[in-house]
Amino acid sequence: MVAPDPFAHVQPFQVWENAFTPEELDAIEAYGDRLDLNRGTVLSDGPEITYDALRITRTAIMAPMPEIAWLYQRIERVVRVLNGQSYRFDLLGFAEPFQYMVYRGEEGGHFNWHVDNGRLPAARKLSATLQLTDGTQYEGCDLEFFGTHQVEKAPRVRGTLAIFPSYVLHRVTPIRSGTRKALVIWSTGPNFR
Amino acid sequence: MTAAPNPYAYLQPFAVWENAFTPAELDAIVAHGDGLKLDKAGVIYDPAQATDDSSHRVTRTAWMARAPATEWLYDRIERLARALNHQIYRFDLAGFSEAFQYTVYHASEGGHFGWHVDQIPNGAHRKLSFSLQLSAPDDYEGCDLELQCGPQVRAAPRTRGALIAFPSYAIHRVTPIRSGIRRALVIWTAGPPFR
Repeated sequence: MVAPDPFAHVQPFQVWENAFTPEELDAIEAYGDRLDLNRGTVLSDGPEITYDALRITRTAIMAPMPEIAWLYQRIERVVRVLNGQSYRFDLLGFAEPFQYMVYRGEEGGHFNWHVDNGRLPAARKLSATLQLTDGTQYEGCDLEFFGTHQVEKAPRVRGTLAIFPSYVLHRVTPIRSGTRKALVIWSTGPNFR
Repeated sequence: MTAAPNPYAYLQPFAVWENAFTPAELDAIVAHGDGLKLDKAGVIYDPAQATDDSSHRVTRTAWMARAPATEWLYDRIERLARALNHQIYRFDLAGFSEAFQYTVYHASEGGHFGWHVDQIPNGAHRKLSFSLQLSAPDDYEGCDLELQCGPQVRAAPRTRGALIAFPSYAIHRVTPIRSGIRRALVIWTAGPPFR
């Protein structure tokens, strides 16, 4: 057992590898592909807008239905462990459902620089992305963090969960070919203090 | 009766308090700062790394410690920091983690400070950072304090006497100075880690 790093929160992101088996990842993907995919929205000062320069993503809400209760439970355990080891943020749960995200090469999928905390009833505090497609299946579409003096890329390995404080600036670079699928999770709680 | 505070103001890239000091007070801060010994500043990314990296930062700095001559300045900054924190951020702050840092950017040496955050490993948990503009906007070209929390970079006001506040986790930089000299006072408040 390694002592937790008291300054882990200074790192832009942390990684949990092999959070799911390949069969479990297949099941998440199959479930997501049956959902109705809409164009992703962005949080702004005014009404929500869809704006190609900011974002081209297909998204679907993956609500906590009984069939995927196991997925919510697993993600909750992983977030609890990572939060306990590194961040120790006050979290109350998932105020928003998980989001299934699809970036398609043929439509130039991307998501420009942004932070996840926005004008929401419950503050997003810890964000996580579960990589559902292996990085060999598409080109571009890197999840990048700008949380220190340089930009760092998240691993592209299927099954990797990247977790980061929701205030960290990040983007998804344009996809050049193929399709990338990911599950996005926000843990919420009282505002940072 | 004042307007209800905006509960989402903390999401803005920065908050500004204009006219935090009178011109005479700003002159006194500059005179005190210019009397200190200015060193070439280092950067902290990683304790193992060399601290002299001129590609990332060229700044002259001096620590402006709490002393009888600066007591008034510490008191004033504390009042301003408390008010901004109460109105906007509501962070748990324990006080100033370090002495104030008097910073000078010279065009003659290509002053700048690349993108960075103020949170540092193995040090105080800096939570709310401040920069006080000590030079007038037409004293220098370039040298903008810029922050980014969306697709666009946002420049802080250059007004002399403006106190700019931002969370220490926010990524920011000072663009290269093209002419003149810019002076600023940098202040960090710290407390228990964000939760």
